[in-house]
Amino acid sequence: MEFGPILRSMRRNKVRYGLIVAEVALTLAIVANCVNMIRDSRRQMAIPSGFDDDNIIRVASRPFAPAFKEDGYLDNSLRQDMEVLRAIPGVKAVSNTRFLPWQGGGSSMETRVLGSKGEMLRNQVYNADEGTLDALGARLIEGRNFTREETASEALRMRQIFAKARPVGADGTPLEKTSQDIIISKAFGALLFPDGKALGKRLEDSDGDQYRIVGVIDRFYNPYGWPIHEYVMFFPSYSRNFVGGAGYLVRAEPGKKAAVMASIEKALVASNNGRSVQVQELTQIKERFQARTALLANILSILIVLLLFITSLGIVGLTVFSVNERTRQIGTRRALGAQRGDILRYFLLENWIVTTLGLALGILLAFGLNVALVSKVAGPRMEPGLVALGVLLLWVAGLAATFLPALRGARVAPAVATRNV
Amino acid sequence: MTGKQKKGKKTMLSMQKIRKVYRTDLIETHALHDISVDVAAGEFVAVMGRSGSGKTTFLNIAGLLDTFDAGNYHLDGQDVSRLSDSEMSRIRNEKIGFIFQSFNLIPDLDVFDNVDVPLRYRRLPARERRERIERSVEMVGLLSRLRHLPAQLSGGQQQRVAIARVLAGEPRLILADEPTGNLDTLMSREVMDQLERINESGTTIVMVTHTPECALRASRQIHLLDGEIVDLDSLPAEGPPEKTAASFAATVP
Amino acid sequence: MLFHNLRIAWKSLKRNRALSILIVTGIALGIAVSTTFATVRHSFAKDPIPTRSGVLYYVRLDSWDPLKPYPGADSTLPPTQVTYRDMTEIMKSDIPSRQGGMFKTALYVFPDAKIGQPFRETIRLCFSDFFPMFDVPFRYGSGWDKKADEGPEPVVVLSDEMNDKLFGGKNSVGKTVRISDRDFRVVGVLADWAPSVKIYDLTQNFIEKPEKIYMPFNFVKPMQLRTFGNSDGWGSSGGLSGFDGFLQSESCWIQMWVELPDKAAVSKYKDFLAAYVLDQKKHGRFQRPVNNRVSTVEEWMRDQRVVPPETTAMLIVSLLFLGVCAVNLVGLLLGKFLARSSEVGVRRALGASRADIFVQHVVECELIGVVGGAIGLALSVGALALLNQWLKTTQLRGDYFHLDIPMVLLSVGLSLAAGLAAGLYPAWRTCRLSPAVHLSLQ
Repeated sequence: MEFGPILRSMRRNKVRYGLIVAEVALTLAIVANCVNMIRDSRRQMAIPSGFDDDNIIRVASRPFAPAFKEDGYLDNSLRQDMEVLRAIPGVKAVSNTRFLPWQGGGSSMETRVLGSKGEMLRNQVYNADEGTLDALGARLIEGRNFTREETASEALRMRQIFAKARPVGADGTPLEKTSQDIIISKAFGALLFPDGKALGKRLEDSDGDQYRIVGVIDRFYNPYGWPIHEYVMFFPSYSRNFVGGAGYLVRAEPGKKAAVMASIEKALVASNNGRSVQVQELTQIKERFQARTALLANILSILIVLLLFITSLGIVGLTVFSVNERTRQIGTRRALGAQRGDILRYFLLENWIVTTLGLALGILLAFGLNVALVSKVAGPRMEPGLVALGVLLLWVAGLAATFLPALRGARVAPAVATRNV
Repeated sequence: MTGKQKKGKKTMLSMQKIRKVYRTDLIETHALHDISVDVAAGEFVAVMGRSGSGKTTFLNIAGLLDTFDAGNYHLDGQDVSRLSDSEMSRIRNEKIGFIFQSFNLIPDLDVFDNVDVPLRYRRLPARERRERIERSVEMVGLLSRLRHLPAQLSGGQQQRVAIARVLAGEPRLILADEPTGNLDTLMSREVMDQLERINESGTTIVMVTHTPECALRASRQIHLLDGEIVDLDSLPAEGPPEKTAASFAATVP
Repeated sequence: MLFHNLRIAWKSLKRNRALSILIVTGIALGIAVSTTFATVRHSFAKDPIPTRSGVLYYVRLDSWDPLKPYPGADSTLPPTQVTYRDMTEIMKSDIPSRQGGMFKTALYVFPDAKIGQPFRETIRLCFSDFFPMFDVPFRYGSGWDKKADEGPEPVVVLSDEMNDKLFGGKNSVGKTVRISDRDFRVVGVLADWAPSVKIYDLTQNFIEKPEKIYMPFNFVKPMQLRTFGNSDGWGSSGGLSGFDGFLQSESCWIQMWVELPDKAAVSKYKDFLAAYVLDQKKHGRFQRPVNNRVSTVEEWMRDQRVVPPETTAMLIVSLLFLGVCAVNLVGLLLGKFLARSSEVGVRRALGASRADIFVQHVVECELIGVVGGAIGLALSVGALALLNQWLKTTQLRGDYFHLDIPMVLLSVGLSLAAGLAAGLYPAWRTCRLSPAVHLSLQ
């Protein structure tokens, strides 16, 4: 009902209202894109590893005593360490593996389905013992786990094979191929065998060495430099040497982690002091890995708040200006019988129109900025739902910012009309 | 009291057939109807008329604050009819001094700085500005208030500061718009005395007023009615003008 | 006149404190945010070694699998590092005035029993040319000589931090440090050295500080040292295993740098590498198209995406943020200026030209820009300190982001530009106000 007069009045002050339209539009574009980036970060951070992250402790033993250069000594010390760790009250499972979730990398190799002549596919690869799946909290959905005897004998067998040069054939690969049993992730199985039947099948690497799938775990996710986060192969072996030391994953019973952590270093050093021991919670490693993403999300959140603040200031400023300029006019309207509510509604309506025009423009800008960011830098595509959310947010912010100054306008006394300025 | 100018003196202000029309989408309002006025150098002229008679328009045009639609205007021998905005600014600054009803001091500048404003725009060196300011403030008797803000002064004092601001510029012509309109009788008298003294020292003054007492202090009165200069003798002394409808339309926006 | 206008502007700011605080806060936030993110990006993007970046080149060869390109975001790029075999061969060239491969490992250091327990420390293995090539500053002694490279002689260079730890900061040149299973003689101690990014090794975390110990590369064989970085490989082991197998494999794990004094040397060196690769093809290696890179510091940083994309995105967002602040400022200034139309009228009546009024108001806007900018700059110092704090908890380095002269200048420039951009229109509108209208009706 008051649209006509408001629009005509706005046409006479194009620049002033245009500024707010531009500000609201830019704000929507920025807020929508920031929220979009925040959501992307949160989504990345929310991806589960598939492991019992909260109860896992990483222990690294780094030897310096020269005795650790001998295989026999290393094996004995490893066995001893595992026993010491298992004996700590509250420990649920212990494993010796090079695998460390959330460290932002790991080791990888290339394999393909045996005899397929297809492309070599890259996957993560780590040793595992009989306790690895348990220590991770990974769920075996098909096949079997490794046994302790198997791990020990396989470790020995492979070490002997690789102790010296292997004779090679005409194609440059070793004449005698090895074969090992492996456990893989479901996702890797699905990549290799689209029909889903991976169990019992064999893979080969670039030397022609073979790998037989004896188990499949439900879920595996470990961020890697290459897009192989969900593809893994575990082979039965121990991992220990003089330079790299030995790494253990210890899974504590729920609620016992702190107590377990407190006693690990002392217990291990007491059993052998020719090395240093480092103890970390997996959650801390994960936190560190995700720190940058988390920080980005936090900074963007702060930016959004600041931006809404600035834009609200702009709207408050406009309304104050608008009210001051029309004090006399408001008085006249009041004298002619306008209620306070009418005056309030006038200003709210005026700002609603300006905000809405800005939002309409902002929707275009939001998508435009997103296209620019995606193509020039990086980031996810814009979700239309977020823009809609931004529109709602700014509508509310706009009305809120208008309300107080407009209320002041509504309080102008009718007597102002007759005052001789 | 005649409508004729004094003879044998140079003309300070000379307007021929000045016309000013305000146009909006709907109405065309004639604020000034081809008026012609001459003011000799050294004269003290009062311009009188009711609200809406065109006094303010006349003063705006005389002070080069506003342009006009037809006619010619010579100020101090110079044709100022078609000047650019910055040329007009220069003439206002160097030749004209304004005194307003509401004093129009700049609220957050003290007395010294307020008087300094026009001198700054004249790009005078600092020493000369200070000398002029102190001299003119002394003339209006406010030297002790040099660092006071306008809000700390009474109305009369504020108007005296405004007069000092004029004096510091040593203008050829002073335009005063109801200089006593916001003052009580006692203060009015002081301000008028001051203006008389300035006029006696040779400065031309054109003062718009509707107070007969003030007008009588001037050496000549010009009456404006509905945008025209009227011969006072041909009108009934107190009677209302007959062109009621026209005067309504001539309300200056 | 400028000074006078500044004084007027200052008075005007003081007149309406609430409004002035709003205005200045807006611009200060905009400057703080944009300066902070410009500095964050600049910390990664700036030339980390301006004295040497003109002559240093990073060498890459495409020794990768003939069946597919080296995995990475850009499949046209060769592996980021070279193999041990290739490094030893191309280092036979005498075209570079200085050169050397290098890698990072970690070993146990056995300090004097009085000082403490053995501890593991990361160590860089490099050639004698490393120190002059990267302008490494010394506190005591110097790097080792070519003879020590050949031996290799058991010599080490320590960082000042390591020297503090092992020798209490005294001149330790000539003293002995036991590392792993042998004794090394200290030949040099570095002065404080922390390039903005660890330019000589961009294959790993490049914002960490340089290593604390340096020893001759050729200890790699006698000590059987493995890299603590990437050692991507492909293809058959050729039957070889163990350490020799690793050295002979197609594993790429060495960062290779050359110093080439002029353009002629660069093209000559490129020819040399091309000839080397063609010769290797005859022996069955390098089955991919010739794709050698002799990259400048800048190109190498670009290929390794040293500037994290999110910092660029943040910079864009923060500049838009500043834009919003400026637009906001236009509105507030317009209101502020037009509210004092009558004062402008008085000034006009007293002889101010439009230009005078315009300049007065532009100066006021610039003052707002400068005051807001100064506050913004101070805020961004705080913000950067917080970011450094965060970095310290995750990267063990708390001095990474700091305002340098170019960034302060940028900040001042942005403040002035924002003040001007926001002020031009309101100042223009104000100077166009008719003097008459705002006087007669006061």
